[in-house]
Amino acid sequence: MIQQAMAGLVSGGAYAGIAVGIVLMYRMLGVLNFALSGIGALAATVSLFAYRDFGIPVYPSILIAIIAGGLIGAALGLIMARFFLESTVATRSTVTIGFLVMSLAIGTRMLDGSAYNFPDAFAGQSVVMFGSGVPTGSIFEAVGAVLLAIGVGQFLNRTRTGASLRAMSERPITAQLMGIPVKRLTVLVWAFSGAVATLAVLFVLPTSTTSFPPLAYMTVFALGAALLGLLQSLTVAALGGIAIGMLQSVVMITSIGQYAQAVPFVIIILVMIWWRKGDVWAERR
Amino acid sequence: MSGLKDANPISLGLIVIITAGALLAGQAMGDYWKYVLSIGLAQAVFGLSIGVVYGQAGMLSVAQVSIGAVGAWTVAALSGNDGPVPLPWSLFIGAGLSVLFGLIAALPALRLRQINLAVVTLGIVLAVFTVAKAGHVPGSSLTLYVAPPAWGPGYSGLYWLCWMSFGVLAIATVLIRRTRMGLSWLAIARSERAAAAIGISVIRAKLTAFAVAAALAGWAGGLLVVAFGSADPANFEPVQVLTLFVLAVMMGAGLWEGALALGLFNAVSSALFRNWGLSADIAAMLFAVGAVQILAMESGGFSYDVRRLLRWIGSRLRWIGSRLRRPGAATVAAPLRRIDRTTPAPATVEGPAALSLDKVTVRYGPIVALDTVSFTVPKGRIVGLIGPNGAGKSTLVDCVTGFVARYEGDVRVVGAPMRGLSAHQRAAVARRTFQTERTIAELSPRDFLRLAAPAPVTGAEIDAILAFVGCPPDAGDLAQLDVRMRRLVTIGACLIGRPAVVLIDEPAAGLTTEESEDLSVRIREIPARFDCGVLLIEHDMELVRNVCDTLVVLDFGKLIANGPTAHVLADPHVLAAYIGDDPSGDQPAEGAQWAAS
Repeated sequence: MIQQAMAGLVSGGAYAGIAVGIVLMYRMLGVLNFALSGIGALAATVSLFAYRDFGIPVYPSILIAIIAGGLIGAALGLIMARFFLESTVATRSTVTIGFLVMSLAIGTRMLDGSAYNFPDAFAGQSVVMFGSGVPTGSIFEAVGAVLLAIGVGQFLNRTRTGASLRAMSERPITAQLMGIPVKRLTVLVWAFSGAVATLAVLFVLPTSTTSFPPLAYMTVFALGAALLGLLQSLTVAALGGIAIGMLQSVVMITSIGQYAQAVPFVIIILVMIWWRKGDVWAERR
Repeated sequence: MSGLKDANPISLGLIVIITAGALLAGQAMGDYWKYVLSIGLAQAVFGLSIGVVYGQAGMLSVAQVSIGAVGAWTVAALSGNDGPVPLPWSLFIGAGLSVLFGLIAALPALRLRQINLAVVTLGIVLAVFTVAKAGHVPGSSLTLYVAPPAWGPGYSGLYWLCWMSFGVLAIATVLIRRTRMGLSWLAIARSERAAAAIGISVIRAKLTAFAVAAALAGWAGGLLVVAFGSADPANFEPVQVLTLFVLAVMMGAGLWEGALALGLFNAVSSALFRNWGLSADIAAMLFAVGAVQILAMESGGFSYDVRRLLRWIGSRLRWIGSRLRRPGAATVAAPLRRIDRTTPAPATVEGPAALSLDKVTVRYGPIVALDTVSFTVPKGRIVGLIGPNGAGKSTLVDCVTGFVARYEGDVRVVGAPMRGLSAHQRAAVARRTFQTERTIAELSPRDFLRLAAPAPVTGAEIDAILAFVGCPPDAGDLAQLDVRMRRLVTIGACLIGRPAVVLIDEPAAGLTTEESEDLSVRIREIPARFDCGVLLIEHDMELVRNVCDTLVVLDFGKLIANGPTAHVLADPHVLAAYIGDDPSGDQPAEGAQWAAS
């Protein structure tokens, strides 16, 4: 049981990293990004090509991927800043469903599920914990996601830029009139989240499936984790991501193992209905 | 009811063209293209389903296609490998079972909205795909083969089955949308509170929208099985499901031609891409780009753009026509009414209590918004409720009409206790307006009143209400009316419910003096004409003085005065609360002129 849970750290760590990006974007930009791990997976694939086809060493090709993730994020951020600054949260989020479909169309022609040799920063190392070998990368990723969550939380609450970002999420137009460079910050948050998602996917790639759709669908589980933190708490989102990964892994060896992917959602739906139980009406007044 | 003569000429034209096209294509095309179009038509039925839940009712459910999986599995299980139930019948059973699943999927939507609902329904999408892939559900096995109906050579049977399905279901959705149930979907999309205030049960509206949409999705899922030969899990792959959703947004599936365009466009472009040796997912990517573009334009989708364009051309043509025939035949609103100062204002007759509040207290956490408030509004009278901003006036309206979760004390309408009744139940006896304008822009004033009526009403009853509020009977959509007229129509929507008491919340805000006077004449006539009491909240003192028999004054949640209008307006305590002067001071209050004038 514990062994199986530790094995879940691989995907759990990735969910955690993506969940941090999702909460960050929701709080700062008012968008629920359904495309985040799709962006990360696209950029991570770039590292595969750099590593395999151009003979670039492991670490530089990982760096290239992170930059690519930042650039893809920035490009989409530009679209959002240009056309959707005044849209509703629902509209912006629907746009990201469009982005997800785009990433799937591009990604599935780059990764077809064959055995690729992705650059692995830890060269397949693993640490034995509770009697099972856990890839070093996963431990790094899980711990990193939690640290990132705490760090970003502190940044938002303690610094002037953080305050600008929070102001922007509340009223983008008002913030713009106050002299906060809203469009630039939008692009910046998209770029940062894209880079974080790339890193999250990169850690999981050497040990997971190499067909594209499951990578892009990691967002769904990360969304679940983000919802556990009620889309506000970065730290809870990170820990929730790890927990969901572990839960899936444990369910996998039970009799309902085939439905392991669906199990977290039962919990998430219940959590969300409980959370919103007082929302009898759509509007406040 | 609306017959063929009311039908939209654009729709009729499209129907003729499409029917002719389908017949011609059926003769001319080979089996391959019949197969392709059949799949497109099945997807168009999914489009109708998305159109109901997202396009009409405004619920961001991305799981409509996945809900149709139940229909697919049912058809495969019952009709596959010459199973017990032959083809058309298994489609009906599949649609019926999908409704059950749709209602379960609807439960989260009762509390979750917008993006939260999108996340949960995306979870449903993933769960359904997991189940489909596992292949344990009856009918989800690929070994069950469903033969297409043998109504003609090759795929002809399939082709006509799909066209008939789409035709019948599209007409059905159009007709359902004109019913009170269909209009209620539009109402909850616009504002759940306003919908409940005119007596619509929000829960029922959501469940019926999901049920109708699930039946459509179930039928579509069944058609896909007939087309593909088995319940292929690939149809319920999240990419497929999301692509159809994105296409529905792009095409504007809330209109039937949008749904049809969605299906045909998707199937035909995928087939063309395959023929050209390109992968179909490039088409999906282009759709996504198109959807992002449509969302940026905020037009509601391609089909809505086309309709707007055609309507604009139509209006230009009509305009030219009217110029040629007789100039100046445009519809005009009734002239503003003036107070007749030569004869005394019509006296009101006090009846039994329409509304009575007994020690009503409302708390929001530590804040006491209403503090043991007691007063009555008699039938036949107009009671004004005044007080400074934040005094608790709107909270009181919320409390009476069922929009406050918890309150102490007793609210009664014609003696009947309101406790335990929900907002839409209270709307049978007590109706309200909102400060913010919450009509449904897409509806005509007639349809809006029909929706607000508790039981089917005659055209004459609607005409009477429209005449009373001064709205031209042939006005276009509410969107085309000005704010004043929309407010008056909202008051009309209260009156058509024949309530015992009407609560009107700041109707004169932003109106000119003349418009406000017109309003006062009409409100003055309400109690006698509609046999009810009126509680009027207003800051416009001229209106209050002209209209109200008695006044109730709230300050910080407490009732500080209650009595005849002139008497209350002269009360120094009321002045102090309103204007912030010291009642014990020697100086006359600065705002005293509004009391004295």
